[in-house]
Order: sequence, then structure tokens, then C-alpha cells
Amino acid sequence: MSGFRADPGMLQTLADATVDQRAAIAQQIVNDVKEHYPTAEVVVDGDRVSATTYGSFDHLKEWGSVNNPPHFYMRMAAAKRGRFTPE
Amino acid sequence: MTDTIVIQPYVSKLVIWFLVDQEEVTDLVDPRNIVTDISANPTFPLVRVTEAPGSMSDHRFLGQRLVQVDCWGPGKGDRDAAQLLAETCAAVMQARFRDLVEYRGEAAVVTIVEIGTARPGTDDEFIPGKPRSTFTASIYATPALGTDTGS
Repeated sequence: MSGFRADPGMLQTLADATVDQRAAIAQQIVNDVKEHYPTAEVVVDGDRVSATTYGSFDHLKEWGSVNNPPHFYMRMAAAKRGRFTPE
Repeated sequence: MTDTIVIQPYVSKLVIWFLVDQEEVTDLVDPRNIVTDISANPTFPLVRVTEAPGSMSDHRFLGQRLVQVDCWGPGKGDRDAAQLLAETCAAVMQARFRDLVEYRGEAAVVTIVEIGTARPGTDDEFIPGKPRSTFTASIYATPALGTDTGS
């Protein structure tokens, strides 16, 4: 008879162990959007990894407005480079 | 060798026809104001559905679409109405936009639908900014083969 008991810290262990790999994926996303969002960069904050952009009008390009359609550049790049799930 | 071709479903068009058919949604917005392209002089409340490509299976059968749904309320500062409209659209899509979806000549088999949180924001094109709530949906769909949509 065998059993499995999850390590209560398993998720944190996984998060810590995959920072570099997730940062590499985030870099691919940044590379994909750089043409549209020149300020885009990878941000690593502890075990959190993100592709972030700082341009004043980038939110208008990504999300649109009543006068402009959204262009989805960041979300399309995320879908292309991994399994994008909207949050 | 076969020359059979498979046309991918037009998912955002299907989403619009779906929303137009949902009573909970049309209680909040005139069905004529659920659109893909906003007119020069729009009336509110207003729902805009925009589609972008996601991933596609190797044999070009199962495709992911990213769909952004934007909702504006009736008034200049009606944040609550915009959010309720977005949340209602999100809820009906989560509950009913799956399996064989067929409306008004458009059809698809939706295998996965993932709806993000309806996010309250502000559309700065207006002065002062007009509340707008937005959510993104990830929809995996295949053509509805064998379905005579009449289109």
C-alpha cells in the first residue's frame, strides 16, 4: 500500500524553482511586443514574473477606447508563447 | 486526395448573436447596441465585441480566439451600470456559450471558454472619463461540421 501526501510548501517550491524559466518565456513575450510597446520589459519580483510595459498610451493600444479598437498585442503574445488564461 | 476545406467559425460574430439572444443582457442594453464596430455617433449603453487570434492546432481545426467585451453604461458617470452589464455578459457566456453554439447562421463547437474578471475602468476618450468595464474571454472552438447553418 502506498500513499501520497502533498508537501504543503510544494507550490512555493515550484514557484521558486521556475523563476528563470518563466522569465525566459516573459522575455519572448516582451520581444514579441517590443515593436508596439518600446518600454516593455521583464520584471522579476521575488517569485513573481511579469512582462510589463510603461508607455503612456500602451493601455489604449492594448485595451482600446470608444474611438479605437483594442489591439491585444500583449495578450496575443502571451497566447502565442504559452497557455494564456484571462484573469 | 481531397479538396475539402474547413472554414473556421467567426467567433466574435457568434458572440454578438449569442448576446443579442440573452434576455438578461437585452434587459440592460438595446440589442442594436451590441456591435463589433462603433458608429460615429454611438448611443449608450453600448457593448463592443472585438476578436483577436490566439493559438491554432497544427491541422488548423481547433482554434483559440481572444475576445474582448467592452461595456459602457448609459450615463457619463454610470460606473455601476457598466460593471453590471459586463458582469452579466460574462456570466451568460460562462454558463451557456459552450458545446454546439448556433445562432442566426453562425455555428461553432466551443470546447473551452475561459472568462476573465470584469474589470471596471475609465475610457479617457471622454472628458470627463466615462466608466467602461471590460473582460477578456479565451474561447477554443472548432467548426461545426455537418451543421447546416443556412449561411
